[in-house]
Amino acid sequence: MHPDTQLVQACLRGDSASQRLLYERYKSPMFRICLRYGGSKQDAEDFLQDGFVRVFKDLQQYRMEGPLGAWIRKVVINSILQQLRKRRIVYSDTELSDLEGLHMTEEDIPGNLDAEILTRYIQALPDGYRTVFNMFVIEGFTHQEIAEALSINVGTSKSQLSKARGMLRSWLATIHSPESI
Amino acid sequence: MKPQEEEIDRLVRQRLLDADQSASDWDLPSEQVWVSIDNRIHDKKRDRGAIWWVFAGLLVLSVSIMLLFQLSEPAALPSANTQVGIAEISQSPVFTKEASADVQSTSSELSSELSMIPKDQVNTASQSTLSPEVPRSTNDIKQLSSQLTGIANSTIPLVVSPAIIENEGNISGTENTADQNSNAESESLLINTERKNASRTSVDVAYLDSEMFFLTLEETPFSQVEALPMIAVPQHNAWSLAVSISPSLGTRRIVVPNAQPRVRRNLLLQQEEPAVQLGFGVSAMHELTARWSIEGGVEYSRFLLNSSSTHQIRYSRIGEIQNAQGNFENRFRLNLNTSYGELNTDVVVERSSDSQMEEHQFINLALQTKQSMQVLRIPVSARYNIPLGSSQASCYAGLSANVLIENSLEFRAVQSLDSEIIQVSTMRNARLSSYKDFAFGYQFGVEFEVPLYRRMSILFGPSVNGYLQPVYQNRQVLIYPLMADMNVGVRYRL
Repeated sequence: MHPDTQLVQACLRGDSASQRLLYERYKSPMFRICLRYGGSKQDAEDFLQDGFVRVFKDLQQYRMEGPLGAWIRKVVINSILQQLRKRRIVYSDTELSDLEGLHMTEEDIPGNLDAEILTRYIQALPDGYRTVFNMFVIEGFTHQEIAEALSINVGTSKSQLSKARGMLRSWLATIHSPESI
Repeated sequence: MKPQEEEIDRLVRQRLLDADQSASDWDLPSEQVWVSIDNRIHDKKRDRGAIWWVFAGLLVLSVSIMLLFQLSEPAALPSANTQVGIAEISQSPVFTKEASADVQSTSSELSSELSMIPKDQVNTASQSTLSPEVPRSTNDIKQLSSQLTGIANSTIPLVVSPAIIENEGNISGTENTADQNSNAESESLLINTERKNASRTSVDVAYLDSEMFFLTLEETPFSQVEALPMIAVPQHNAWSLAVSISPSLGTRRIVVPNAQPRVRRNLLLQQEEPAVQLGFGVSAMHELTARWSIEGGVEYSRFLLNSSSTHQIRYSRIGEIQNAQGNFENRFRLNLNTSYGELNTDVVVERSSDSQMEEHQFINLALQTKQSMQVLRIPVSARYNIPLGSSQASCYAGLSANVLIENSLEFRAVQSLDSEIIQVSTMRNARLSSYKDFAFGYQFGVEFEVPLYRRMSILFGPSVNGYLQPVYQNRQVLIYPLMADMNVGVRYRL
């Protein structure tokens, strides 16, 4: 039997305690995803709220075949992308040539730059850059998949990713301490 | 350049994935996220579930009442073999006879007797025997009986609808014995009925001696005749009027089609009491066939809904003044996008002078709201009628036009949940917007009809009425009231 079978079945019966348990179990990793896609913590909480509402609504579609966490992650990301599509983000194609010349290696990223600070940098990216960067770099989507998911051109996706990288490199290159953020 | 670009991707990914393995508190959402999720995943179920449970309960209640009526019917209606009425068509003294003879033997007697009747009279009698050409009034019976004059001690079975007797007002529910009427000098026709279990009766017309008649009503097996309900007017193409009151319980179905998180964020918690509605209406029904009828009317209803909610608002110390008690007081205009509408009200917040509060801080504002709507409904429905002995059940469904006459909201701030805040109060009632003056709705339900007196009958039964179009709509929220009603009324058949 799948380890999450009982929990899922209890959630499907509408048991509030089980729903809460499922939420508590997965809220932290899902919230990190939401933080990367949202421009702020409040945006991320909204994404998380919508994502888990979608999870509980679609839970009967979970076939108990793969890990529950992976399925929830997929649902939450789809929910985030749906919300982002509604926001009608403008994906500007203007070039940021001055940022493209910056190169970065692991040594260039401060050792004390933890995930929280890195996430804040990602949050600070413009909406379009941030969305494409997350989808390509973290989730592993291809440019073709990103283009279809966001209803944009493949070229626009590549351009947004390039600009996101450039902007991140420029910021990280000037970091001296986390307090400077 | 390409490998270096990929390197930064790998570095960022690695740092973030490493963080997934470590516990920290920066990536924990606030407790309110779960509160909102819980509200959203359970509200819809509660809304739908509550309505159907109320409807099912009212249906059970209605069926129980109906059964009580059915069980008590023999006591309420004339008992078997009771002479219950006098038709004023005979000038002869009334003669009584014990209840009916066997239909088959009567028919055989009829055959022999008919041979003695002149041809034109036989035709009339035969037509009457072979329903559906049944006598439609006591005048018809009188005319028929006059054709039988001269046939002594004969019994002619007729099939007569009880409605004839009802329409002519002959069955009054009072018992009349032969002795009581034996001295009657007016023309009279004694009717002897078997009402128990009678879905349709045959009438034996007996001509006795010179000019004396009596009728006995016998039960005829249901399978052999067309069923006629015993309620006052079973004929088709009949009109009836009804008045009814409809106490209702219900809720509002809230739909957020294009969720705008920024708007929903300020609503932390909302608890609604069941909506209560009281309606009063009049309606007219037209029977198209024995089973189908159409009904239309108008109903005035008042909808009341109490609720409490907690909103998160951004409080600014800018503009604070110190009042006579030494506390800081701030007045500001509050615009809230709630599920009742876009509220616009003035709020006063008071805090103690020694309370610690940042220049800009979120505070929780607890509100109590009382909404009142007056609605004029114009329902039209199709009905399918099912005879139940002497009563009737109807299933109906239809559409309604709903006109919003008045909409008001009492909006009151209560004690804040924040320890820094001493008091929060509203200066004036909220202004509501985005409510629609007109919306189409639907209704369906079950109605039981029990004879009460002559052409009047009692109506009762549950129904559900809701809105096809939202009564309130803005960019974020659509609201559809959904009510389970218990309709009680009286119908008068014209």
